[in-house]
Amino acid sequence: MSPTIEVCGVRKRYRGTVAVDGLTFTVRAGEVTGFVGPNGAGKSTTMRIILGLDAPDEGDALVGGRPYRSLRAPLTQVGALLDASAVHPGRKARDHLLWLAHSNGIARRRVDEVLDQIGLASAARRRAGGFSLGMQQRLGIAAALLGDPPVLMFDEPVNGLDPDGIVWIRGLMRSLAAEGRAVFVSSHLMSELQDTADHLIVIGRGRLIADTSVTKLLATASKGRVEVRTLRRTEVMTLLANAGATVAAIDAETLTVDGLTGEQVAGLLSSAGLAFSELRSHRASLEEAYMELTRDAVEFSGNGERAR
Amino acid sequence: MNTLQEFRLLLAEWTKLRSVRRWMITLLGAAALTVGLSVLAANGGTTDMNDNPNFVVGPDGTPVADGMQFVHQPITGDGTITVRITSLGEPPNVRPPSGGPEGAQKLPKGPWAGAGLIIKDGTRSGSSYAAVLVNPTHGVRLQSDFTTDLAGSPGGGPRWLRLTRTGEQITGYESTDGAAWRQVGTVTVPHLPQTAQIGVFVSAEPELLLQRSAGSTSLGAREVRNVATFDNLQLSTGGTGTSWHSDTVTMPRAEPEGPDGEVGKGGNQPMGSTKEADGVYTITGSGKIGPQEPPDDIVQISLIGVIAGLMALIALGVLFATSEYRRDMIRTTFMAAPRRGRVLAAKAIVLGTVVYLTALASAGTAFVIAQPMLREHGFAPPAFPKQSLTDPAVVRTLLLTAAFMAAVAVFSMAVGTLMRRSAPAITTAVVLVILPIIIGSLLPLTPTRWLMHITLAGGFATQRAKAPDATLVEPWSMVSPWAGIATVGAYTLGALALAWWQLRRRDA
Repeated sequence: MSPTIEVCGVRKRYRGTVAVDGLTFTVRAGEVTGFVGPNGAGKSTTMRIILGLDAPDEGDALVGGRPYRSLRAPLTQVGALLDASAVHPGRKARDHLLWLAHSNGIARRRVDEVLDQIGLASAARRRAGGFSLGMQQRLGIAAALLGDPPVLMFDEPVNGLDPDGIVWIRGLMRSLAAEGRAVFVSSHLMSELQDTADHLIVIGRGRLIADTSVTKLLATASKGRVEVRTLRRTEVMTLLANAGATVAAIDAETLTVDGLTGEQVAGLLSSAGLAFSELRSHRASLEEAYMELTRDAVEFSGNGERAR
Repeated sequence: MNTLQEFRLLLAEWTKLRSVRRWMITLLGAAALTVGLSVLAANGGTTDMNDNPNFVVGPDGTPVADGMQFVHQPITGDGTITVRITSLGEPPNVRPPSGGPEGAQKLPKGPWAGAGLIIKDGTRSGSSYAAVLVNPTHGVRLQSDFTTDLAGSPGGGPRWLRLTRTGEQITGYESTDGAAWRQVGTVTVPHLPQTAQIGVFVSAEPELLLQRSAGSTSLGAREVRNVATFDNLQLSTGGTGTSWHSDTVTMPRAEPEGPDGEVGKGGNQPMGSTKEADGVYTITGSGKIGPQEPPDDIVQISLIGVIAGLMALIALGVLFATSEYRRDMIRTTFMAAPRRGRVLAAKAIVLGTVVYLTALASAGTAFVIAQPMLREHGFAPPAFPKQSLTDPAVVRTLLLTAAFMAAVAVFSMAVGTLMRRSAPAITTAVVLVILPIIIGSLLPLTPTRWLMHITLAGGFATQRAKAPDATLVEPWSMVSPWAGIATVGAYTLGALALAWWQLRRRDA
């Protein structure tokens, strides 16, 4: 089986509200694919459709080329964490993993293996109801890893995690992708995916906005802007604006300049005798790139609504 | 492969069930309630049935009714008696109805009375006998020792009857013309002595009048008489004389009305008479010759706690399903096993099996503990023959009672799946089980029986080891255990089918 998720023309409507509107994308093996969009964009719905929990009105969602519902031991093909609190509070962590293992014919020793791997071995015989949010999250991830699947899906995995946990989960996702698995992770905050995702699927209002590699997206968003660091912000802004550039202040000492090259800026500032401590090409953050993308999407969908 | 996958799901659902401690405690609680309440009730109730002088036992020690007008003579060894019955019916000058509560309903009569030929161990009531007779509604019967009843041709019209003794074997014949004879059957009567009384008899089953009202029943018995005419009375061999004696076989006189409000059943003195002219005998008689066990069922009494255990099992069944919907745990379940119908089936099988075994153990325990207590409190032989754990009727009762409890638990699980929320699902299941009992206690006989056939409450009939009986307060006692379990099974399968249908079409 090829470790991929393929979503093709999926449409889903709940009582008149369109949740997913003709979505098509592919998740590739060996990469962390981020699935980004504002709350209510249709990320969780798409994930539920991939997992066969909700039936799409149109289109197909395939895992390794097959619909999820046709898989005979699905946990060995796809591991998913949707909602970490979906564990019976009266059940011990180990028993939770044990029934999952039984249902897919997974060996009992895998239960102890993943508990070790996830750092829950000491809490294995405690009831899940007493777990902290972080422990619940770890238990959910343990369940996803139980069948050693080539495809992994995490819905908002860092929610409720402390900084240590966030670092841990990012490392885990990187290492899972490095092992050749397809890792599909959703988030409503682009910043969470910085330094984690290789590829991004961005959606808004159930529609695809971008399907791009992170490198390309950042290059597009930077648009050859220049970043200037100076203590004489006001004078610099005036000077560069007069030279025809679009200038924006990032903080008290930093400006971004659009419309002039680095050399032009350096020349202008030197001849005006304005001191600057740093001049470099601006590197956009994912957050910025995302804001730009979704701003467009909001306008686009606004027009789309009117056109209908 | 498929079987293996089914087994995986069963193992997974069993792991789910056993790993929530509260559920296991609920299961134990159900067992404790079943046993505890049954023992408590066994310790509380008493009966004076065995002290009642209006009480006769048959050759096998069970309570019987025995009353008739008997025209007889002794016979030693083998022999044959033949007679023609030319008419049978109630006497024309019927007394105005008396006794019995107002607005009461007549209960249907059994086959244990009529007119015919009998060979009997003397004229003492309760002694061994064999008879071939015509019953006004049930036709020709061959009966012996208050238990055996073989049917001949239907209809209560005129007949020729013949009874032949060969050692312990008694064979009955019938004929419409006295020439072409048809055998009704042969019975073995081991207690019949070498010299017995043989002759013709007339009996009439007392009319039982039943009134059900708000949680109680009152039963009245009215004496009725049959009159029959016989001719062609012939005793072939073995007769010791030619003179016929007329005697009235009677039950002991009834006590005045007991403290529990029950009117003595069939206790009035039968009034019989015999007239003979030119070989034509006109005999008037009353009484029933047949089983007369008290309807109270000591097996059922020792299982009273089942209703309490059932409440805990309803909660368990519902929670086993609704817990899946708390925090969307059902998604984890369906991610692990996307074929939803199989998940539902696995849940039903696991829950049903676990509850069945628990229920069987607790019902068996309740029975074993309660029986000696009940015997101490008067529920003892001869009125209440000793019941042992290996009696077929007891085995059937325990197995069916456990099946009833398991089916209700699975039904509750299906209701929980449909409603997804614990409180309304538990309430619904409890109401469906209990409400028909309350309504059934208020309604008259026929609608109550009907109600017990179409509701879950009919399942309580599984607790009865004795035959259905309309004279008891418990509404379920008037349907058979098989009818009760069939209704409960239909409810359970129906609810499972609905749940399956909804699971398939609904997003998880």
